[in-house]
Amino acid sequence: MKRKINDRGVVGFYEDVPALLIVVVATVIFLASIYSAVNRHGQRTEISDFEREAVEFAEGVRASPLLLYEDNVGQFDATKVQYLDSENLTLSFDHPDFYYRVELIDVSNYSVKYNRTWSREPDFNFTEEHYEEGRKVIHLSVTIVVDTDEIHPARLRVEVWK
Amino acid sequence: MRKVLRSEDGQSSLLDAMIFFAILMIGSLILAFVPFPSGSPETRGVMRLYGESTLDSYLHSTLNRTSYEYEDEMIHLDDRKVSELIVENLYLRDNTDVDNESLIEGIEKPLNETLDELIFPQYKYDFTAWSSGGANLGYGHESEEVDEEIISATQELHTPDYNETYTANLKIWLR
Repeated sequence: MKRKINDRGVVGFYEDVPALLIVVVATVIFLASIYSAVNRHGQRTEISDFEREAVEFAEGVRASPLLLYEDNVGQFDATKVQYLDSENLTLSFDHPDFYYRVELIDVSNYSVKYNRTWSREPDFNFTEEHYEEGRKVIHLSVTIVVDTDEIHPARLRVEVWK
Repeated sequence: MRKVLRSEDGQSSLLDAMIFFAILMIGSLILAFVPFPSGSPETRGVMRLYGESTLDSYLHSTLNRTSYEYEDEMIHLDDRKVSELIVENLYLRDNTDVDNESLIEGIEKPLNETLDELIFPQYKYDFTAWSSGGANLGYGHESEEVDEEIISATQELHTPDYNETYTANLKIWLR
């Protein structure tokens, strides 16, 4: 059949309906993909905010005056390490809106070790399934100063969750 | 106003719709695969902080007992900082004829063990220290092709009289 091409439009019901359907379907798919992309971006931003909060907390622990030896960031005083309790550490961070567990692992080759754990955890028996809004673990290294001749290297593991 | 024509020979609005559909599908595909960064800047910042804090803590910590043999005599170095031990080790290698095996067993082995304990098991590391005289000291995991990014931290060490400068470098990467 020979096609007629000119600038005079015509209306044909049986052609417009399928065309309209295609346009509607394409628009719906496109809108759905926009929604999905915005949603993913939102989730990413939320995780990023939480990560930032966790990093600030970990850096705060590493620089906490309750633990530092002569105000040197990353150097903990062995006596302060022994006597600091979880409640005071939580108080110093003005009751953060997340749970945490801070583990100090003395890895020195001295016989006396200064291992400690401070935490703020829910009252119930906590398991992995209770992580609701994500979890962030931050690894750092510090030293524990017993005196100027005895400085222990230590791992600092800070785990934060909502 | 023009009169609307009705005819069996209509123009192809279906073709226009198909082109519209194709364009929107391409747009949807682009949106579906738009890359969101998997590792945030914070994650990389934390890795860097970990590398730097580990090197700093390592160099400033002390070892309770190290030693080496020199002219049939045992030299004991108790409660010496890691940085001092590294400098002494490199100095001895550069300037004396101390038996290397004695240095390896008495100083380098405890140094290696301490760093190995300090670094979390999730990471691999490569520690090197060298002097301008050409002596060098290294331990850790062999450098290999890794997909993960390597974080590198460097510090300069000096002899007590600041006559010589030594360099210590720690590279860490995720296993």
